Parts: sequence; C-alpha cells; structure tokens
Amino acid sequence: MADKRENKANGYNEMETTVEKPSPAGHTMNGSKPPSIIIETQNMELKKNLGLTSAISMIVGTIIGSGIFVSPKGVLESTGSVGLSLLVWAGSGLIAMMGGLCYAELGTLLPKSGGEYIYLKEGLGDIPAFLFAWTSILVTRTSSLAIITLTFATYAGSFFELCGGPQLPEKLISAITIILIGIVNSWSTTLAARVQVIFTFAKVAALVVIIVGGFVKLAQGNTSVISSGFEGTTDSPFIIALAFYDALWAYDGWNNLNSVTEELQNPPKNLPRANVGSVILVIIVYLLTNISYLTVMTVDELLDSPAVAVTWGARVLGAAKVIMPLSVLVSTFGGANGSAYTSGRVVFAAARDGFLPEYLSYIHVKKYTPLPSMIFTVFVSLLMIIPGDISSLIDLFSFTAWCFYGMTFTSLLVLRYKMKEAHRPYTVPIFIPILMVLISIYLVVAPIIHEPKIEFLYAFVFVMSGLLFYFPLVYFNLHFKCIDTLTMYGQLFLEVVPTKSEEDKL
Amino acid sequence: MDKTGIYVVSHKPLDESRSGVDNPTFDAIDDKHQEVHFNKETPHYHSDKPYRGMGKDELLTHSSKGIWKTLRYICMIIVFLVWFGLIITVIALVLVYPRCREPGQQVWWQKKTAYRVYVRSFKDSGSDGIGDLNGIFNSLNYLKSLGVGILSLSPIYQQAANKNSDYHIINHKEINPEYGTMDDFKALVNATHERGMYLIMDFIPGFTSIEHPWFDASKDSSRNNSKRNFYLWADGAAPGSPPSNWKSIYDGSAWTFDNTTNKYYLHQREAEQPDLNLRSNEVKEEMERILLFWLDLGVDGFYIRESAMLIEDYDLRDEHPSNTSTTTDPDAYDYYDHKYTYARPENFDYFSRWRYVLNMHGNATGREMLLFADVMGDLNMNMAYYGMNNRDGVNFPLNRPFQQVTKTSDAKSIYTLLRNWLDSLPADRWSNWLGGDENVPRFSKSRAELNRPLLFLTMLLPGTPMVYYGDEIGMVDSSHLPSNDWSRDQPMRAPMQWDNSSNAGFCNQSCTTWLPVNSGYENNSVQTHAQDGKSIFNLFKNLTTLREKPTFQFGYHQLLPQGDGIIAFVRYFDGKTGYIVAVNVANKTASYDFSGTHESLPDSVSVVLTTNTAGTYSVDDELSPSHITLLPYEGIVGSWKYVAKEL
Repeated sequence: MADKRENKANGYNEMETTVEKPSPAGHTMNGSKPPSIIIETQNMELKKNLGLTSAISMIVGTIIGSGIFVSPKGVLESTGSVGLSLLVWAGSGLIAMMGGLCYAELGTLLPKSGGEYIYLKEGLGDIPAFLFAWTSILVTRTSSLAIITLTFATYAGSFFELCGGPQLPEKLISAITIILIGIVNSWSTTLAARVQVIFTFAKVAALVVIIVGGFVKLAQGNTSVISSGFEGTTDSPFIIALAFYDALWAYDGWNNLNSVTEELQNPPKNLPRANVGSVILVIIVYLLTNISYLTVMTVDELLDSPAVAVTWGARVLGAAKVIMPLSVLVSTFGGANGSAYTSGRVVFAAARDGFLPEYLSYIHVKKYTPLPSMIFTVFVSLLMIIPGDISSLIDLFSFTAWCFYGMTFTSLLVLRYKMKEAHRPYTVPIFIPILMVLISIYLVVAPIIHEPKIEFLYAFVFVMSGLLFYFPLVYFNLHFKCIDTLTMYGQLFLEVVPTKSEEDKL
Repeated sequence: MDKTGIYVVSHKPLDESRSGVDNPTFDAIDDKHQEVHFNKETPHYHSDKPYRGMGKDELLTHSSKGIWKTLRYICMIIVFLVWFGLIITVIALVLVYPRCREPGQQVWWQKKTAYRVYVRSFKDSGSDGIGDLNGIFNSLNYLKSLGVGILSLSPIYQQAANKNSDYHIINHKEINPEYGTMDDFKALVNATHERGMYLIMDFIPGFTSIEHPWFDASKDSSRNNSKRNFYLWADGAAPGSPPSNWKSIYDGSAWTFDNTTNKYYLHQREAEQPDLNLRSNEVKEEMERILLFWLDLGVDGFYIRESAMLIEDYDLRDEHPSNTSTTTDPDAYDYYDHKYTYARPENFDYFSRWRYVLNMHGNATGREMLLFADVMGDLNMNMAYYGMNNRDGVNFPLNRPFQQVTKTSDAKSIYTLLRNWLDSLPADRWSNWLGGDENVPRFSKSRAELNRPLLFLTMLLPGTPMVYYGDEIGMVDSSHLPSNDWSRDQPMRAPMQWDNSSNAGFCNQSCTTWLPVNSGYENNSVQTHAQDGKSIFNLFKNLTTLREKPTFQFGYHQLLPQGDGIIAFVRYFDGKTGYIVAVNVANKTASYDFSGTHESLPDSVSVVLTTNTAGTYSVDDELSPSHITLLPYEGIVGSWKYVAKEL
C-alpha cells in the first residue's frame, strides 16, 4: 500500500483488482445474499494535487472574493462604530475558524471529496444529503459561480466605459470566463490548482498594497477615524447579530477544502492546518484592510463608495490607481476558479453515490479531471447568467446555506456516537460543534424573523421538491436502460471512466 | 455477442432491482453462464464491445477509434471556436458601443446645499440671548446631519454700538464682540472644514457705518485728508438743495448735508450708512485687502450684499419718475426709475475684479472659491451678473422665483418663472435657487402648504439650493413687529426652535432672547420634527440626500409641459438613474398625462420620495407617467434605471 500511495502522489495510478464490498442492507434481493461476485475495478481516482500551499490558496482564494474590494460596508453600517465593526470582523472570523475545526474532524474521519454531502449522508442519512446535493448543485454553487463571473465582467467592462453598463457584453464576458475556467479545470487539475495559487497570491498582494498604503497614511497621522473607536456604537443586540451575518458571508468559503479532500495530500495533517491557517490569514487581512480603508476614508465616504478599493486607490495611489480594478478582476477570477474547482467535486461525489446520474462521477482516463461534472457545472452556470438578475436568487438561497451547515455540525455530533470506535486523526473539542449548531440555528432564524418574506418559503419548497426526484430515482432506484446507453456513448465521447474513493479501497 | 468476457463494473454496489449485472449489454445473458462466471476468479481480458461503466483499457480500445476521435476533435474545435467567437463578439461590441457623455467637472459649491444662518438668531452658546459663533460651532454636527454643506453667515463684522442693524460696520477685520472673538471664528472655520463643509461670509462693499474711522477721516474739516475720497461728497445743486433728486431706499433724500465740510454725502440707505466711493483706487485696494484678510483665515467665499448699489451715475443726474410706480409721493424711493443708481453696468467691473482676487488666491492655495451676489430686477440684469464682455462675474446671482410666489400663484405663473430663468441661463453657467433669507418673509407666512412643494423645487432643480435656517422645520415669521424697516428685529429672524424647553433651546433657560421665541414652538422644533417620520424636517434630510445622486448633481434637466396645476421636470444623464419630479402647487387634485413628454421617460417609474403629505402615492409605488394624479400640494420623485441600449 505504501508503494501505491507513493505512486499516486506522483500522479500515476496503478490498475488493481479489488473485491467490491457487498451492497448495504436494504438493497439486497429478497432477503437472500447478494451474489458474491468478483469485480475488477480499475482504480481510477482523482489525483492528489493539493499540498498545503494549494490547499490554503484554495480556501483563501474562495473566501476573498470581490466583497472586501467592493463593499465591506454592511458590517460598518450595522454596528455604527469603527471599534465594534472591527470586533465583529474578528468575531466572525473566529466563528468561521471554529467551523473549520469541525470540518477538519469530519474531513479526516471521512476522507472523501464532496464536503457536507458526505457528512450529512453518514451522519443524518440519505435524504438530507440528497437535498444538500440537489440544492447545492442546481442553485447555490452554480449561481455563485455565475455571480462572481458577472462581477468579474462588470469590472472588466468598467475599463471600456460602455454607457449604462449594457448587459449583453457583460454576460458574454461572464460566459467567456466560465468557459475558460471550465476548460482549465477540465484540462488539468494541476493547472487549475496552480491557477488558484497564482491568483490567490495576486489578490493577497493587492490587499497587502492596500494595507501597507493604509499604514503609511496611518503613520502620517491620519488617525481621526480610527481613533473614533466605539463612538456611535449601536445599542441593539439584534442589529449586531445582523452585522455578524454580513461579516460571516465575507468569510464564506472556509468549508471549501472539504469538498476536495480526496485530492489533498496527507489530509490528517493538512486539512486541520489549512482550515485554521487560512481563516487566520483571512482574519488578519480583513482587519488590516478595514483599518487601511478607514485611515484614508471617513466612515461616511466608505459607506457611500460604490467600490471601496477603487476609491481607496484613487486617493492613495494616484496614477497607479488602475491596479485596484485590476485586483478586483484577479480576485474574482481566482474566486470563480476555486468555486468551479470545488463545485465540480460535489457533483462528482453525489453522482458516485447514485444520487445523480452516475456518469457525472466519471473522470477522464488520462487527465484525471472530473470532466462530465465540470461540463455540467459550467452548463448550469451558463444558464444562470441568462436571466436578468440572479443576485436575488442568491439572497433567496443564502439562508439555506446555514441550514445545511447547522445540519453538518449536527452530523459531527451524531457521528461521535455512530462511529465511536473509528480512528479520528483529529478531534475537535465537543463544545465547538455544539456552539456552532446554536449559531447556525440563530443565523437561519434571525433573517426570517427580522424580515419575513414569502421568498423564503419558495426557497424551502424548492429544496423540498428535491424529494420528488429522490424517491423514484434514488430510493426506489428506478432504472432506465437508455441512460446506460447514453452513459456508454458519453464515456466513449469524453474518454471518462468510473472512479473509486479512498474509503472503498481501504 | 460473446458471453465469455469478464464483467467489469463500477465500484457501485450491485442492485437487485436491476438485472443481475450492472451492465446493459448483458441483458439477454443466460443465468447459468453468469453464475459460472461469478464463481470463478478470472484475470480480466478485453471485451470487444463498449458497455456502461467500462474501465480504462476497454474504453481506450474503443474510444481511440476513428469516429469517436473525430467527434471529439470536432467538438473541441467547436468549443474553442465558440469561445473565440464570444471574445470577438465582445471586442466588436466594445468597439461599436456608444460611450456615456462626460459629466462636466463640478466644484464643491455646485454639489452642496447652502444654508443661510442668521447668526444672531441661530444658537446662543451663552446666556445673553444673542446667537453667536460658538452656538454655530456647537451646531455643526446638526448641520452636517441635515445634509447641508455650505454655511452662509449673516454679517459678523464689528458694529457701531447701539445701532440695531448688521450694516453699521466700523471695522471690516474684526468680529462683532456680541458674536464672539477672532479665535472663535478661526475655530469655527476649522471645524467646518473638518466636516467637509464650507464657510461663506457676507461682503458689504457699498457703504460703512458713519462711525467707521474712514468716515471720520473723510469728513476731516481740512478736506485734505487722504481718505477724503473714500466717500461720495458733493455740493448741493443749489443752496439748501441736495446735489440730485436721488432717494434713499427708506425714502427721503439720499443726500445728507455735513456741517463740518459744508458738503453733502451720499447714502442710499440710512443717513448713518454713507456710501463708499468705489471709484477711488484706495477704496478698491482696501476692499481687496479685506477679502484677502478673510481668505487667509480660510473663508471659502463671499456673498456680496447690496451688490446693485455699488456705483452711481458719475454726473449725479436726476432720476425720472417711474412709469410703473404705484406711489405719487415724490419723496418715496419707488416713485423713481433708478437707472442712475441701481445696477449700473460699472458694477460688473467690480464683480470681475473680486472674482479675480478670489481666483488668484484659490490658485495659490489650491482651493476653489465661491462668489455670489444679490440683485433685484429683470432677467437680463440677473444674467449679466454671470459675466459681461468676456469677463467672469459672480458664480451666480441669487435667484428668487419662489419669493415671488404668493398664495394665489397658480402653477402656470410658477412654471413661467422657472422656465424663463432656465431658458435665459447662459451656457455653462450655474443656477441658484433661493429658499429664503433674512430679508424676505418666510414661505410659511401666508402659504405654509406650499412649503413642501417649493422645497422640492428648490432642492431638485439644477443649481445650488440656498435654504434659510428654520426652513427645515417650517418655521414661521414672528408676530413681533419690527421697530422700523432697517432695524434688526424683522419677523423672519425669530430664534431657531431647537427643542421644547423654555426659549426653545436657543439659549439656556434663564436668558432673555433678543427677539421673542415664536409661540407654539413646543410642537414645532427640531426635537419634535426629528421624532416624526413624516415631518418636513425628515423630508428635508431626504432631499439633501437625494440631491447627492449623480443625476441631480450634474444631470440634464427638462421642464415638462405644465398641466392642470402640476409642475414637473425630468433629471437624467447617460448611464445614471433618471428622475421625474412632479409637484402639485394648487389647492385641488391634479392629474396629467406626461407620457411621451420627454424621450427619457419610461412607461413606469418607481416612487423614491414623496412630500409625505396626504397623497396618492407612497415610496416604492410603481406608477405610470401617463396617469400622475396628485392631491393638493402633493409632490413625488419617481426614478427609473438607465437602460443601456442593447445592440
């Protein structure tokens, strides 16, 4: 086995013959034993391309999207004071880090790609897992890929100053970006991972420029805004909770590495390190960037600015201000790449379990890329950019995200009993998942109470409508022959083959 | 089909509901053979047919065949072609797509709302009952929160004692001690600038107090004093009769005989306010020194007071009775046509000169200065203030259409006032809209219901709005009767109503305010208004915020046809949100179809602001410009997103 691991690390996969595990109880035929068969499976699997650096880049690159460059103001607006807003930024980072620790335990206990999907399946059963995959694959991940490429397109378009920001060029640029990212991710996971590292470095570098520039100004004595401290702090605990909600969205993406666990080198060591290290990095960067903004701008100016980093650049950098919109481009492209990379893996993982057409879990025979799932993700994302305004869609489904996070933390607690004996390379202190469950419940309930909208019901109905597919296609496993034929032709066309997960092999 | 092949299936558990083997090509398989096969562990070899879930080697034998290879290449080429096609399309679109027109570069006094403070009545920091500079200093955060950006202070120069007027200047470089010290003033300037606001002073170049040291020197009995020429001296036309028939604006002769020098001096105002002789170079230099003195202290501009009465006819020619006069009293000011004393063309030379002083100082300090002036009279005279003979005049003359609005004014007459002004405005000049000042009755005096509609127009028409303190809470004129026409205690100068404590919070409770506080202030103060979401105070704040939008800052404007009591206009600009402002200024419900009256108007607009009075619409309503129905004195602002032309 040791040899095999080494080979895999080199990107070379042995063919091997393995005995398939018997199918789980409940799916056996009429009480009799399943046929004892010997099945040869070629051990095709995703390659382990992610070292610690790539892993941290993956997380940092997806957390730092366009938000910190464009509109880091929701928090400031809600809290009312500079001091409290910085506290909220740090506090939300802490929450994200605790989430990351929980995910580190889950990811090392169940080292399979697919993230929440896997943990929900093991912890709470098939239905929550299916509903997660259903929502995530059809709406949340694809729409977030679409929206981040649209932000990219808006900034790309800003260089040409087309009057009124016509939609068509922006949508075309967005489509070009999605296809490009699809090609990169289909071509080579190594390339995609490298792209992620490079773009993460670039966006962190841009933020370092902002931080250093801010501190130069700070040293020159522009401290009037920063020193205002807690002046004007809101006294409503409810508003502060909303500020946390805003800030937590800026940290969203801390869970992304868990989607690609199988591609991570040495997960027991690297997963906890990457989850914690990257969030700490992001906390530091966010705090310093906010301080820099507030050194150069007053609170009101920051709230008024349509693109804070660009305003900052115009103030501090003078003629070099063009690097700020460029940084937003780099940041959004990197974010889109990371988003596509990981969302392809969720499709892949769900399909592998028969929750989606199995074909979507196949990987390319030579390039080891999840080609069908990538094409599926790209295709749905392209559909997403066609309608007028998809940001409303994002708002609609944002509350479901914390719903699934909360269920995932619950899974962790359940698994502590279900898999009591299992080897846990990393164990999180029990109070953290309990706290995270409570926080998740609050974050789901708070916006609904604060502003009850009929749309939340629509979103809920959509999530539940997944059951219409679950029962016939997964639970009762209705089977259509034409699917098999299509799968076969699809295999021949794209040169993709089934894969095996780490767990099956062990 | 050869049935001896090894069965290669995916890792997926077998499922009894399907056929025995997870392989579609083996549908007709015979059970026996299958059984045998299952029980034998055989090394694999290739099947010659592709099947679902096939592994690497099988796949490669089939997929490398011509047809699949070709198909793959074709598809890859198609994907790349589509991708390049998209790029080329974008490049083409970018090249042919029209660009927005550039907004004109704007300076601060075009962007901000001006707020006129009558210093004596705004806020008393002490207990003498007289408003002062520190009172304003303490109110700066309030003003900032109102959304105003330019403070225009009433005169604060050192005054002759006991004159009951702001015009008895005895020192142009000192602060009236009643209002504070020079240090207070410096602190005020700094605090104003710290908040991103600007401070404007009044500049009164036409006359001084009779107690000004210049006048003392000028009437030196030797008549050889170097300051003799600072004022206008003339011999009587005949013994005992003044040099001309010119009248003071307060009626009676504008000439007063001075016994010490046996000559008459000119005073177009009170006899105690002699006119300066601006034709004298020494006076011109003094005036420039005064401007520079305050500019050096950080003042951002000047309001030239009584600007139409700087220069009079050199030959002191008699004025003729006016054709339009309503009085038959030959001693009355209004009896005459003031072509020799009012708004002489020579005045413009002074505006240009002072503008030059401000520009020079601005260039040296990297700042932009504001200069504006008051004038009565016809449009041509107003427009001439912007500049004559290729020389820039003031940045704008105060524009007073709303001061001509009375309770009986109908929409048509107001529309005409606006239309005439906007049509006459020279290219690249900037308007002002005066809400009120300390010399005209407040809006609320006789037409309180017009407060909100007129505030809409003041704030949203293209130009710098100038509002008067107290307008934000709809303050009314005092019932206190003024001592006389030129005294300070005019009805529109009642102390600001801050809260419902005694003295309305203007000064502390033990003090006696210099003018009585308006009765009923308990229910009409900043404090009470702030708590009422529908108050004019909150409307005022919303208007200053709305005015910050790019379209209101630099957008184009077009008055829409006036119909049925509604005055409406659109503000729009390339790439920016467009707005329609519609107010009903009549005491009856009005309805009009504005569809098609301007190319920018869409079929539906969304209401972003209303007068918050009884009305048809509320914020976020969608309405069609073809049916705008407004209740009496209701006003709305509707907006629409700029729709880019899609090619």
